[in-house]
Amino acid sequence: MASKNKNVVPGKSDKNEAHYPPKSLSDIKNKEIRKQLYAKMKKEKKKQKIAVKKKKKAEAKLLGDKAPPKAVPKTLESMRIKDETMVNADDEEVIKDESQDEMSSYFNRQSTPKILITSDDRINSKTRKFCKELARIIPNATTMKRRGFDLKKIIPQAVSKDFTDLIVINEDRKIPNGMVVCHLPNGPTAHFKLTSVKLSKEIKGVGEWTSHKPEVILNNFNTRLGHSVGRMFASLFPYDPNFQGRRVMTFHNQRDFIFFRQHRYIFRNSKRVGLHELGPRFTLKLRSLQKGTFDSKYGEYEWVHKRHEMETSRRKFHI
Amino acid sequence: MAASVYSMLVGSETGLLKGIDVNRSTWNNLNSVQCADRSKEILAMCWEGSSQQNLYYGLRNREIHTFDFVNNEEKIGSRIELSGGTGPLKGLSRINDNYITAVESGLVKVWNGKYDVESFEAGDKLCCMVHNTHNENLIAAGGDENDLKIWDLQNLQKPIFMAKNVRNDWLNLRVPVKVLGAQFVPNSQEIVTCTGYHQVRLYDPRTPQRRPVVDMSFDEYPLMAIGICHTQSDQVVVGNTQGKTALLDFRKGRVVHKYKGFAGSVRSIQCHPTMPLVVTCGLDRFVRIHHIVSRELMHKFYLKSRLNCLLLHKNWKCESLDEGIDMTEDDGVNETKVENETMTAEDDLEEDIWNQLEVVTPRGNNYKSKRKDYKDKIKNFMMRNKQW
Repeated sequence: MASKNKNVVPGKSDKNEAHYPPKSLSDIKNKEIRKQLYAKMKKEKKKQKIAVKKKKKAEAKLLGDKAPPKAVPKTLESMRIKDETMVNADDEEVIKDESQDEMSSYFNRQSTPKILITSDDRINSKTRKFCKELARIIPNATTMKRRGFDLKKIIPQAVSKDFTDLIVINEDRKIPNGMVVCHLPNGPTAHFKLTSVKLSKEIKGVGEWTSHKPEVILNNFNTRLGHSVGRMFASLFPYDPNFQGRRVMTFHNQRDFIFFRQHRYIFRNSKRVGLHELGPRFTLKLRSLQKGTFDSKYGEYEWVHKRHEMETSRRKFHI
Repeated sequence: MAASVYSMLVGSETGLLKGIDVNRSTWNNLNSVQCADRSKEILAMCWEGSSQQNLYYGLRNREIHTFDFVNNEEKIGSRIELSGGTGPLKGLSRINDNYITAVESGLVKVWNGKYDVESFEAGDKLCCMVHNTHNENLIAAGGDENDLKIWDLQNLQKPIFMAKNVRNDWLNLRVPVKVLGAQFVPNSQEIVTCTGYHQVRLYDPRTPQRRPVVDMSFDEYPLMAIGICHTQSDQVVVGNTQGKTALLDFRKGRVVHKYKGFAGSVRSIQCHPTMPLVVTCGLDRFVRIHHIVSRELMHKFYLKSRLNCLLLHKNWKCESLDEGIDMTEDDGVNETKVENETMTAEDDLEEDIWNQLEVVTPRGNNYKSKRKDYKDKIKNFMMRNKQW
């Protein structure tokens, strides 16, 4: 058969063939031998790598202070495409714009956050537990059963009862998969994809949290869009944290994924900090930011994530 | 007289007026950043006649400011305040040194800054008011449950045209009305509108029919802005609340192509009068310039604030686009050449016959469309000849 004889070079004796090692591992036909050789090759490569590392380390030790600085690893983030909407801290126009936006009353301490948490209609236990846990970690938050009401009917009710934010958790296949954060009374509304939800009970060695008002850390919300989203998160929590509680919420943005973690910290000495995770954990990804309160049909969007148009480069990020 | 360098002016939500110089890829705030205030949000802008020396812009706090485009400074003395009606400004224009303003409650008035010359009610929940720049007496307005009407300023007893809602849908339910934008078709009496229920409609007041002559729909979100293509007849660019922007053709009755690169709602669309360029601005804080035909994104400018309205200056000549234009023109020339080659001596006779015929003026009275029609006729004739 022609296909089987492909690798056999005509006019070459068996003796000759034995002398030449195969060009690559994939040329070896016996799977067992191929496997063994591959494992061997891997092992050797690893050995070499460790040797090079050791050598470099020894050299650096010898040179002392004169050692060349450690090379910074190339990551998608460090090679990020330059974003012209990146906010300068001293940009007067952006400061002016933000000082008058919908969240400004919180930052001017004219309003205190009061949050309503609700969910999809007909949810299962995991989503219900997640809602409850959210209501526990966010001070001054209450959960409410959705009971089949339209969001557009809930919003005016919530506004009349002085709620400042509405959080809606969506569920699919018994797993929470979406989160809508709507700032009241005039918006904006952010829609997130919600993934990797871990309740505190599912995290090993999780600590018990206290009812102190938490501190909030917002990491890498640097573009204009990121600023808007970060301000929305910040306005969910009271402006004046109880530092005594040493409880801290982190919204960490990395490659447009926003990771949420809660910790209790302790300064062990002037250099070391101890962290104890309190849970829950979840990951958010912004899908859209809409002007005004929730109105997916007739509302105007400030930013919509368009996968095929926007995800042209792996090094382009929006937040 | 220092000629201004700006190719276009953009009004923002923070009340800042921004001038863009496309050829140098730079932009500036024309008023100081200190006075940025949301209550001074720029809602409407218009030029002073065709000279484009002064720019008028209306703010959310109902003030109308004048910007002197020659000296590049605001005429602070000529600030005036709008009275009458309620709600924000929905349209602004100038006619014979008078202002035309429209507010949300429906009051449209012609006034000189102090006294009213004319005023009329255009129905409540007004969303847009446009003024015909070619026939200066015509004003069109429409809004939420307030279908399009056209008034003649010389005869304000009743509108000269009142649109009639389209027939009930296939479930025999009434189709809701929400006119969000309108534009007069230049050199014709037709008017195009875009609606909150993603329809694009063409009305022709010359016909007895009050329903739209053409009714198309695009995507499924409210269409916020519409711009007439000056370089292509019977084509408009529309943009919706999700930033989907497309070129629509009334003769084909469908989308020609979509433009890419938008992140947020489109608030204003303007097409260049002579070059195939479309400029858009919106809530994503960017001004984008696309080539109408090739769809290419030629420029984009990040202007730091949400943008509401846009006006092009007549002095704008895009140097970087000259090549692009040449190419399109070349294509036209090539086509004619090819046709010339196919036309042999026997065609000369035919040509004489065609030359004797009277040319039917197509809609839009456009030279290009005329030529295209003529070409089509010749093609058709030759096709028939071949069959014989």
